Amino acid sequence: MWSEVATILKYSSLNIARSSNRRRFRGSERYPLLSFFARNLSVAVVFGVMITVFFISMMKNQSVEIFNYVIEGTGVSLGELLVSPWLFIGTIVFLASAAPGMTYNLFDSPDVEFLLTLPVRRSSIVMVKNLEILPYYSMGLAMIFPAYIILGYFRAGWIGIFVGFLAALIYLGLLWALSAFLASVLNVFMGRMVARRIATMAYFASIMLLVFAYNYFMPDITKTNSIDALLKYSGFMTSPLFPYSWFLRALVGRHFWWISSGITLLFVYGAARLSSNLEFSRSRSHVKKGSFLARNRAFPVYRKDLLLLRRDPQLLYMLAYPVVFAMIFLLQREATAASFFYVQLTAIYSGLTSALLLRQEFLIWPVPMTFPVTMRALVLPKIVIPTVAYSTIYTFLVLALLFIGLMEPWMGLFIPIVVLIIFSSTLLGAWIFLRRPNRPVKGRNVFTTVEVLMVQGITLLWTFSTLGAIQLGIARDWSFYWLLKYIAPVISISSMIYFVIKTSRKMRGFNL
Amino acid sequence: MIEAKGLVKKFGDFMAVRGIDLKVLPGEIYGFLGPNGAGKTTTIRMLTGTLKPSSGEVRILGMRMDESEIEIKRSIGVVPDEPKIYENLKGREFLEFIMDIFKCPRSETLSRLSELCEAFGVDYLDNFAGEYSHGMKQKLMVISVLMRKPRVIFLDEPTVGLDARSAKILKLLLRKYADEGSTIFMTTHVLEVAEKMCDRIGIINEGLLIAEGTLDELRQLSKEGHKNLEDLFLELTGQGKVDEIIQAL
Ligand SMILES: Nc1ncnc2c1ncn2[C@@H]1O[C@H](COP(=O)(O)OP(=O)(O)OP(=O)(O)O)[C@@H](O)[C@H]1O
Ligand SMILES: [Mg+2]
Repeated sequence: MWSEVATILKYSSLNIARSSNRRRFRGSERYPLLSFFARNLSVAVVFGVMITVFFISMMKNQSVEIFNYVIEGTGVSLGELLVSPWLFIGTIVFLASAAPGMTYNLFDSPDVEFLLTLPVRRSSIVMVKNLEILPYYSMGLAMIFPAYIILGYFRAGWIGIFVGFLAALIYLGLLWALSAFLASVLNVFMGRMVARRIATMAYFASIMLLVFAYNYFMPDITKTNSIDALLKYSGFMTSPLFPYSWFLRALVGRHFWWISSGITLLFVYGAARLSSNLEFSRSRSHVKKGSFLARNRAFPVYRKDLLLLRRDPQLLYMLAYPVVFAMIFLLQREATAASFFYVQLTAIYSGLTSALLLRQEFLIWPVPMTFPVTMRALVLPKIVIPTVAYSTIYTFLVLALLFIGLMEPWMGLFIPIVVLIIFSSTLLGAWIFLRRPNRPVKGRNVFTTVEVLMVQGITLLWTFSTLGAIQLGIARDWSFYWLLKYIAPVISISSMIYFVIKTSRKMRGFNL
Repeated sequence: MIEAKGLVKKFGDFMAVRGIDLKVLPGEIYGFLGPNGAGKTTTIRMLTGTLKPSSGEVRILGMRMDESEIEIKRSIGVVPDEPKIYENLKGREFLEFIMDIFKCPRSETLSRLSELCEAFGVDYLDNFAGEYSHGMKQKLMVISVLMRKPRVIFLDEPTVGLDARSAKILKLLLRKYADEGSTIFMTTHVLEVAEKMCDRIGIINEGLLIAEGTLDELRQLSKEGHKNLEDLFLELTGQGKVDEIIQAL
C-alpha cells in the first residue's frame, strides 16, 4: 500500500510544486514519501523536538522520582498527570482540524475520480487524501508526540523514548482510522449537504462537550478542598474513556498496552476494510421546491458569497472554532487569554476563509470573467465578509466580557486594533492566494506548506506584538515594560497599515 | 456585431493565436472550426474579454473591449467550453444570481426562462449544481445565457453533452435568434452542425485563420475538389492522410 501511496503523492505534490513556479525538492523524485514528510512535518518536528528537549532538560535537574511519584488514591503518576492535558488538547486539535479536513478533502477533490480509475487500492487513495492535509494537523501531532516521548523517557530512559514514539504512532493510527471511519460512515448515511452540516454540528457538539467536561472537572485552586479537586481532575484526565490514556498506562508499565494496541489494530483494520469499500459517490440531498423572486436585488456578489459561506461547513467551522477555543479559557475565567486566543486563531483562519471564498470563483473560471463586473467587485466581498464576520464576533465577545466585568473597560480599546489585525490577515490570505492564481484549487488545501506558515507566522507576529505585548507589558514588573506596552504595538500597527495600503494598491492593478 | 483586428495571444514563448482578423455581422451565425489546440477557445476568450489579448483590438457592438469591457460584458452572452457552476448553489439560485448581476428586467426574463426550462426539460432547479450531470449543467448554462436574450452570443462547443432533443432545440433557437438580429459566434467539432447552421465558417489552425467564407466559398478553396465539409476541413488543416494512418495502426 505504501508504495502506491508514495507514487500518487509524488505526482500530486509535483503538481503543487510545478504551479508554484519553483524548482525545488529534487529529492521528491526519488524518495517521494520521505520528502513529503520532510516538507510537511519539518516545522512540527522542530517544534516537538524543542518542547521535548526543553522539558527533559528542565525536569532532569529535579528529581526523576517526582515524575514517577504515584498520587495516593488515584494510581496515577505525576508524570501522567502532567502530560495528559497536552494529549487532551492535542487530541482536540487533531479531531477539530484533521477529521473534518479529511472528510472534505476526500469528498471534495475531483481528482479522486481520476484516482479511482487507476489500478490502486481504495485504501491507498484514502491514505493519500488524509496525508495531503497533514499541514493542517501537524501542530496537533507536535503536542501528542512529545507528551508520550517525555513520559517514556522518564520511565525508561532512551528505550522509553523509542517506546513513547511507538505509542504516539499507534495512537496516531487510531486517530487516523477514527477520522476515516467517521468520514465514511457520514457519507454512507446521508445526502451530501445534509451530511456536511450534521458532521459540522456533531463536531461542534462533541468538542464543546469535551471543553465543558474539561472545565467542569478542572480543580479550582481557590477552593478549600483542593485535594479532592485534584483527585477528581486526575481521574478525569486519565480516564480510560480517552484512548490516549490507554497508551499512558501502557507506558507506565500497566498491561493495558496489549489490550489497547489490540483494539487499535482492530480499528485500523476495520477502517481500512471500510475505506476499501468506500463509496465516493454522493447521494442526492432532499429537494425543496422554490420559486423565483419577482425583482432584482442589490449586491448580488455579496449575497452569493454569503450563501456559499453559509453552505460551506469548513468555513462555518473556521468561524466557530475560535469561539470554542475562547470558551475554554472563559470558563476558567481567563478573559484576557480568551480574547487573545480568539484573535490568534481568528487571524490564522480569516486569511484561509478569504482564500477559500476566492477559490469558489477559481473553481468555475472563466465563468466569473464573463460577469459584467470588475475584478475588484468580485474580490472585495471575499475580504469584506470574513473581516466583518470575525470582527463582529470579537466585538460581541468583548462587549459581553466588559458587561460581565471579566474585562477591564480600557480593554475595549483592543477592538479597533483587533479589527485591523483581522483585516490585515484577511488581506494577507487573499493576496497570497491571488499572487499565484494558477494554483491547483480543486482540493481544499489551497495553500502550500510555505504559504500556510507565512500566513500563520505573520498573523501570529501581528497578534503577539500588539495584544500580547500590551498585556505582558502591563502584567510584568519589568524595567523595559514601555517597550512592550508602546513601542512594539506602534511598530506592529504601522506595519499593518503599511501592508494594507501597499497590498490594496497592488491588488487594484491586479488582472487575472 | 463582432470585430477583431490582429488578435494575438502569447502564453510565455508560445503563440496560441497568431494574428486573427474577424468580422461577424448581426443576424449571422459564424462557425469557428479547427483541430484540438488550434486556438478556438483562446480566441473566444479574447473576444469575450475573459483573456487579455497580447496585441490586437476587439470591438463588440461598436464598443472597444479595452475601453468598455463591463458594458460589453453586460450585453453579450457566453457559454464557455466547460459548464461550471458554483457547486453549493441550487440551479435556481444561480439563475437568480445571473439576473441580479446582469440587472435583467425580471418579469420579462422570468417568462422567457420558464419557456426555456420547458423546452430543454430543465426541472432540476431546486437541486444543488454539485449534483448535476455534465449535460444538466450545460443546459443550465445555455438557458442562463438565452434567458437574457443578449444581442451577441458566444458559444464554445455548445452541443457537447446535450441529448439529441436539447441539441436540436438549441440549434433551432439560435437560428431564430439570429434571424431576429442577434450575432452568434460558435465553435464546434461537429461539422454537420457547422454545415447546417452556420452562415459563414472560419477555419483556424495553429493560431492562424486559414480559410473563411460561406460553405460554397470554402468548397472553391479545395484543390482536391472536396465537396463535403469533413474532407474539405481535413484537407485545409493538412490532416488529410487519415487512411494511411489507419492502415499503419
Ligand atoms: N493558459 C494557458 N497557458 C498556456 N498555454 C495555453 C493556455 N491555454 C491554452 N493554451 C495553449 O493554446 C493553444 C490553443 O488552445 P485552445 O484551448 O484555444 O484550443 P482549442 O482550439 O479550443 O482546442 P479544443 O478543440 O481542444 O477545444 C493550445 O496549444 C494550448 O496548449
Ligand atoms: Mg476549446
